[in-house]
Amino acid sequence: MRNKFYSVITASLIIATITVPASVSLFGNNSFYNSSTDVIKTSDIIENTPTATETDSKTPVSDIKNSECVYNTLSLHDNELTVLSMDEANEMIQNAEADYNKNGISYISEKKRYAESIMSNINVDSSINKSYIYHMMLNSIDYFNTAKGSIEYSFGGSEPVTTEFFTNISEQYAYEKECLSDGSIDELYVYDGEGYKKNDEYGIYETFICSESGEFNISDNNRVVMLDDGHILNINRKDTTNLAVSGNTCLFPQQFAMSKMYNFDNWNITGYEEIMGRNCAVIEGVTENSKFKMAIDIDYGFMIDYEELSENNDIISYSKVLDLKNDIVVEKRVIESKINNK
Amino acid sequence: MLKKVLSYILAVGLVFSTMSVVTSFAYIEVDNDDSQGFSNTNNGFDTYLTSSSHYRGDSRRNYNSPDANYVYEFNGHGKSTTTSFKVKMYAYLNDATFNNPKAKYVAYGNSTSFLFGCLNQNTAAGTWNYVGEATVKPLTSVGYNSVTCNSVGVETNGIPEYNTGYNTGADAVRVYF
Repeated sequence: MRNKFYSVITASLIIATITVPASVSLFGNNSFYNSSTDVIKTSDIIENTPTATETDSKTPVSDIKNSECVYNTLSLHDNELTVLSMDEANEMIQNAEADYNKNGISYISEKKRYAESIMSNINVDSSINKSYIYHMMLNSIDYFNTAKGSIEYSFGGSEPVTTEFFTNISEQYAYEKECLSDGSIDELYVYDGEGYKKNDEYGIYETFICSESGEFNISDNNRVVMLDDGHILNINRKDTTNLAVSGNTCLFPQQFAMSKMYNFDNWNITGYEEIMGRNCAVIEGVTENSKFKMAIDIDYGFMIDYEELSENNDIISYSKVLDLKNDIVVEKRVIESKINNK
Repeated sequence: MLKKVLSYILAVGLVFSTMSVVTSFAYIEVDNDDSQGFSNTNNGFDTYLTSSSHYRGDSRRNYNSPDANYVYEFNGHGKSTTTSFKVKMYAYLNDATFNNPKAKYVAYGNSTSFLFGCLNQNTAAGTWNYVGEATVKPLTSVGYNSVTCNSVGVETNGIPEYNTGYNTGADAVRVYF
């Protein structure tokens, strides 16, 4: 009897040793990755995805950008923050990088259906619609490859700046030109892993080396976490647009999503608007000291319009897209010739 | 048999304790005007701010300089290599006056800068931000055989010679090698 008892304990310990490391979650029920959700084979999606053309900016070409990718269902948002130490957060990012390196980008499946749902029920403020918009803003770079356009912006009362840009994510080159109202111009080139800043007076006056790594898959619910000292941590994905301001202010508005929209109680989808031929969800929300309104491209997650207003309705900050095309041909030789004329 | 069971329990315990060692990390934290063993180089962040919202009660701010930077130095605690390595950076920002939409965060080595990423400080204010990862490597094309990273920084990343009305903030940073 005693031998049997020890045998049972030994067997249990062996089973525990084998299974526990694979199932233990340092952070409770909050999953690191979308991979915990239902996985749908890429081929199931590709068959039903329209083919992109150079001229149809509404076509979600990025749905077919990576035929080896993994599709997951949309994670519904949870306002409750995961609590981590800084070391645990850093470990989460490292694990998410390993996941990305192994599995590639983690897309959501049925994106088109979510977009259509928002357009047909635009005034229905469902958590699914909000989760979809939030996901697209956090991960817009996964759903397009090239973009070209211009925006105007001013933050916190700064002088308005007009910026022209183009980017090619898969080939990692980009160009951004900032123009002030007095006609002064500053340019950024990113090419072959390096960044160059240039203006008419100085020529190339600054260079820097771009990161070769750092992409990751972290679930939308873990992009904002609470540190164990009570501070919030916003986890930025690598901005693969390589654009200094047009990226974070238009093409990849992840910082706006994390800082202003993490708490779903603070904002609502209040309408639908077509802007420059793009289907946009109108978002209205509040922060601690201000209120904001934005128009988000439903198909891509681009921030088309943004206004932050004081309590007296004075404009504190704004950005607006003046022109935008995506998934068009942006030829490498354009930036090559610009660089060669340095 | 009892000894075998106890040995097994000890072995399992050892495995788990080893796992915790393997997965542990340690960051370098440097504040502005650091007084905790590190240092800073201030190139244009001349406004000294105090507030309970700032990390350890203070921060630095630059107004309108196109090419100012604030450097966080950790000499002797950085990394040196002949190949390449990765560095992760976190930045704390919590001041409503910070409004630079493209503040640039970099690691320094081989007399150049390696990009972590850009933050819109107007939007990011109020929290810790994971800025990104830089790949630091020797610039062999210009004659370097090794690289040492003992500092990171925030740069105003502005338009030369022109005033845009940007306030760029510098508060605490954390770095993981």
